[in-house]
Amino acid sequence: MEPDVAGSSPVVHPRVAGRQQLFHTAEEWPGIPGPFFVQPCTPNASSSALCQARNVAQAIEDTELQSSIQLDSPWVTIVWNDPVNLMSYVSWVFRSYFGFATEEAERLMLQVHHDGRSVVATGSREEMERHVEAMHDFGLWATLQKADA
Amino acid sequence: MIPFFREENREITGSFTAVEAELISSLATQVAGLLGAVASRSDDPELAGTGIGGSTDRHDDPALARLLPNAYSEDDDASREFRQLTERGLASRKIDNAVIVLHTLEHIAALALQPPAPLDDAPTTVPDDASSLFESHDDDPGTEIALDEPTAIAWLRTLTDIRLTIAARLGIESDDDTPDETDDAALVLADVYNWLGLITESLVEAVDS
Repeated sequence: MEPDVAGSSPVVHPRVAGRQQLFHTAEEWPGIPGPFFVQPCTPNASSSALCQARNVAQAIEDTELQSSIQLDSPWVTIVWNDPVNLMSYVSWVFRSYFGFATEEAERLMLQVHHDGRSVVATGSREEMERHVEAMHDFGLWATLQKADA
Repeated sequence: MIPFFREENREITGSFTAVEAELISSLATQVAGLLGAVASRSDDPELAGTGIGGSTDRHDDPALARLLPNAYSEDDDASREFRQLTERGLASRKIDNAVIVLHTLEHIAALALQPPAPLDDAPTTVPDDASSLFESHDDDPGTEIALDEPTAIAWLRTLTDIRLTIAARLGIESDDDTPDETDDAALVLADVYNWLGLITESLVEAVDS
């Protein structure tokens, strides 16, 4: 990806993308002045040439984003059974990190326990990498792979 | 040890004797030390300050291999690349959690480090401490500690990392593995492992309630 002059597309290694917030506002990118960042295209201002150009650019970006998600998807995060982690702890991790309801967290935890593994999330590769790293933070044994692998 | 529980004022409290606090501190320090070599690794000087540039292959030490596992089960290249990008950060965060545990225990653990009686020259090793854990401490009723939510979560993560490390040392790899009955040191370590499990269980319940 070529850096563009406005700096609206900071060069981010694709494997690091998603690990950090991209820069969207003038405050977050103080070196770049001007209206690219600070003036939203409100309905009143949407007729300006700048806004129209940005809307087109945004539409292209959205389309590219969607197609890249489709190409990347689906990946899965798998949590593996281990003899160390307590069932209550694993269930708590599933609830507190993924936001699962108690029943779902228990079901997944028991699946890990009885079947040796459970798919706990599905999505883009980057998203699954974040989940796996978070599971490793909790000391759970997790991996990601393509859903059909 | 009085297990953790949630007080009516939402504070999570537990109580440890000096010997217990010193044992947990010692184990947390050992795990942090194990991870320290990984966290400070800078094979590539240009990446040294960035948090990336970790090692590329799964560690030979079974404890490190379990604390810092491969992210991809079926793709060694992807695992290698992911490890390079994330391993130092993961190790550093684990060390940070261990340091939080050490802070919450330091005023209690310090009591255990007071000079022993002149004739008592037993070294302060884990097995010796551990065996005394299960005796009564009439002279030390324990000291209460109170944890806020983030501190409690750091505790849960560190207790888990310690238990993963002990399990690796004991060769516990499946639900059916038990420590070697003929190895006294292993049996004591297994007692510590189970004791840490009780603490973890009480803390999960307290955080959850």
